[in-house]
Amino acid sequence: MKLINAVKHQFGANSKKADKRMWGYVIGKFIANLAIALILIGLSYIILYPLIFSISQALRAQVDMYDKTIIYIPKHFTLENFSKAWQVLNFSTALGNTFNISFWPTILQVCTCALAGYGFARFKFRGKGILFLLVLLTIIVPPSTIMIPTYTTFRQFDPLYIATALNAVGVLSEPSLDLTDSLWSFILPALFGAGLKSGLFVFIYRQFFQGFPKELEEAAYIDGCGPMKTFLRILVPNAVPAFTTVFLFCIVWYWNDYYTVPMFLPNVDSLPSVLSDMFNKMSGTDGVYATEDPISLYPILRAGIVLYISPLLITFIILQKKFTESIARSGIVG
Amino acid sequence: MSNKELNNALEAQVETNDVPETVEVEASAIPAIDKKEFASTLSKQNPQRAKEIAMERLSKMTPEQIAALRAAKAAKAAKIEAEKATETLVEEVSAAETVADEATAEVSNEPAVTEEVAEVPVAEKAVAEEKEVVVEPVAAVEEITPVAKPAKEKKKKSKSRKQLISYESRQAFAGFMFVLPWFIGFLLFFAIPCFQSLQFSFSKVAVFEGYRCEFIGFENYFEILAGGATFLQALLKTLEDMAVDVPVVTIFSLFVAVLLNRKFVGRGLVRGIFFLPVIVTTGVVMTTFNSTGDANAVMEGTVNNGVMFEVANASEFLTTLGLNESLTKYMTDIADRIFSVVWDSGIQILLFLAALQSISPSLYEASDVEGATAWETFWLITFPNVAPIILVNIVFTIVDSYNDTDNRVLMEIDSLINKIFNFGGAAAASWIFFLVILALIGIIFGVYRLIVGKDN
Repeated sequence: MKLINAVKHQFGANSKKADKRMWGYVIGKFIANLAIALILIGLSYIILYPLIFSISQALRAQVDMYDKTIIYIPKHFTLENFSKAWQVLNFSTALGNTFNISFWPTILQVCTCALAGYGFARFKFRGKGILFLLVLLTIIVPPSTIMIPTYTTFRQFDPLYIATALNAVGVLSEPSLDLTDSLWSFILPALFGAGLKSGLFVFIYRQFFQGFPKELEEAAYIDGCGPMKTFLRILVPNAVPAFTTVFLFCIVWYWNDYYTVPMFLPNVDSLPSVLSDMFNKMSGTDGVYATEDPISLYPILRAGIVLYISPLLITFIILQKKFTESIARSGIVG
Repeated sequence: MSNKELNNALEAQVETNDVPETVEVEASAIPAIDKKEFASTLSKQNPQRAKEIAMERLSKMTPEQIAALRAAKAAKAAKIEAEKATETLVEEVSAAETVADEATAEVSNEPAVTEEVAEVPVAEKAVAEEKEVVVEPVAAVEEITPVAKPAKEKKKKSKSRKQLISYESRQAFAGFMFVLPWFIGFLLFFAIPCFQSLQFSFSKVAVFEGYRCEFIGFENYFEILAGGATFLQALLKTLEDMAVDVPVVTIFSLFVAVLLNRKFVGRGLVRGIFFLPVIVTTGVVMTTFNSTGDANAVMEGTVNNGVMFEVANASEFLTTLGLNESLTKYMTDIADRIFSVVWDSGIQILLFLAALQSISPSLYEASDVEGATAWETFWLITFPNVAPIILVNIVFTIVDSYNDTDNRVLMEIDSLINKIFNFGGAAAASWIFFLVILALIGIIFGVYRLIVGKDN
C-alpha cells in the first residue's frame, strides 16, 4: 500500500485519469519484473541443468535407468555409484596430481604476472609499448602454433647453452635436460610468467595498477622506499581483489586444462584426462565393467562428473561472494 | 614597491634559512600572472636597480638557497598580504607572485644571468623530485645560450642535470626489472618456439632424435591451402561459427549483465549461478556429459537419459502449426544453441557487470530527473560506458574459441600432427589461422575506431 501511495504521489492529482495511469504503470512494472524473473530463472536452469541432472542420475540405482517415469528424483537412492567412480577414476591420486599441477604454477604465475603488470602500469622505460604489444600477442596466438616447438624446447631444455656448457664441464651427463614428464615443464614457464594465459593476467594486473591512486606510492618514495619495497608494502596489500581474481581464473584454467597436461606429463593421471577416458576405461574390452550393459554405467559416469566438479564447486561456493566483489573492484574494465 | 619588498625578502632570507614546507607548496600554488607584463613594468620603473640586486644575490647563492629564498619570499608576501587589508586581492596576489618570480623575470632582460636563473627551476626540480611536485617546464629558459659561462656554474649545472637523469633512469631500470621475469619467459617459452614454428612452416620436418628441417619455401602453405581443401573448409566453417557466435555471445552477455545489475531478491545467488560456467569451464565436463548423448541415440526410447529441450518434438509441433520448414529449423537451431551460448558467456557477463558497476549512479539519477525512458537511458548512458568492454569481449570471445573442443581448424591441425605427423604442414596451417584471426581482430578494431571516432 505504501508503494502504491508513493507511486500515486508521483503521478500527482487524485483524479480518475491519474489513477488509471498509475495502475497502468504499476501493472506494466509488474509484468516487466515478471518477465525478467522468468528469463533469469530459465537461464539459471539451463546453466544448472548438467549439474542437477548429473547429481540426479548419480544417485540412481541401475534399475532406475530403465524407468521412464523418473525425471529428477530417483526411486532407489544409492551412493554406490560414487564409490565405483572413485575407484575407476583413481580419484585420490588424480586429485593430488591435479592439485600439484594447478596450485604451484598458479602461485608462481600470480606473482610474476603481478610484477610485470606493475612494471607496465607505473614505469616509463624504452620499448615499453612494444613489450606490451608482445603481451597482447601472446594472448592472440593460438596455442597450437607453438605446441610442437614448445614440446621440443622442454624435451631438450638448453637455455643459452647452459646445459651444453655444464655437460662440457662434466656436471651433466647429457648436453640438454629432458623436462617432459616432470613438473618442471609447468613450474618453469609459470615462474617466468609464460604459463597458461599469462598474457591475460598481465593485462588484468596492468589495468588494476593503473587505476590505483598514485599518491600512496609517492608517499612511500618520500619515506625512502625503493620501487620493490613500495610494491610489496603498498601495492600488494591493497591489490587483494586483483590477486583473488587472477588466482581463481588461473587455478581454474590449470585445473580444467587437458591440452598441455597430457602432452608434457603423459604418465601422470590428471583429473581431466582420467575423466575424459572414464567411459572407455569402464566399458572397453578390458574394462572393469566390460560385461555390463553400457546404460547401467551412466550413473557411474555422472558420479565421476560430480566428483570432478566438486572441489571447484566447493571452492567457488566459499569464495563466491569475494570473487564477484573482487571482479567488480579489480578494475579489469579499466 | 617591488624593490622594497625584494629587500625585505633579502633580509628575511638571511634570518630564515629553513622554511616550512607548506609555505613552499603555497608559493607554487599561487596562480601564474602574466610574466612578460611584469617584466616590462619592472624594467620601466627601475631596471638598473632590479638587475643589480638580482645579480648580487644570485651570484652568492647555491641552488638550495635560492629555493629556500623563493619560499621565504612567498612567506613574507603572505604576511604583507595579511597586513595590507586595504589593497585589493588581485594586487596582493600579483605582489606575491612578483617577488616569487623576480629571478625568473630577469631572464628576458639579461642573458648573462640566464645560466644562474636556469638553476632555480632545475634546483627546485631536484628538490621536487622526491615529492613529485609538478614544476613548470624550464626548457624555454634553458634554450637561451648564456654569454658568459663561469666554470663553477657549469659544474653545478651538470651536477643537477645528472641527478635528474639518474632519477628517471633509475625508475626506468626499476620498471624493466619488474618486467624482466616475464620477458625472459616470453623469450624462452614464446618467442623461440614461435620462431621455430615459423621455421617449421617453411621446411620439411623430420622428427627423429630432435628434429631436422629442410627448407622448402612456401610449399607447405600451398599444400595446405590447395591440397584436399579440408583445411580451407574447416577455416571457413570456423569463421562462419565465429560470425554467429561472437555477436550472439556479446549481445546476450550484455543483456544478462544489465539484468543482473538490477536490484532484486536473491541477486547474489543468481549472479553466483551465472558465474558458474567460469569455474566449471566447458571442455572436459561438457564433453563427458554430452558423450553419452550419442550412445543414447542408439537406445532412443528405451532409456531415460534426459533431454533438456525436447527439440525434436518442438520442431514437429511447430511444423504442425503450419510454420515454414526453414524457419522452424532456424528456431530450433537457436534453441539448440542457447545452451552453448549461455555456457560460453560466463566471463563476458562478468566483464560487462564490472563495467556496469563502475558507471556513476549520478548519471542515472540525472537521466531519471530529466525524464528519460529506460530505452533512452540504456543507449545514452549504459551503452557508451560499456563500449570499450564490448571490444574487449569480442576479442576475448574470439580467443576463447581456441578452447572449444569443436573448433574445426584446431581439430584439423591436431589431426595433421597426430595422424599424419606433418609438422611442417601443421605449423603452416596454424600460421595461416593466426594471420586470419589477426586480420579479423584488426578489422574489428578498425570498425570500433570508426564508430567511436564518429561519436567523439
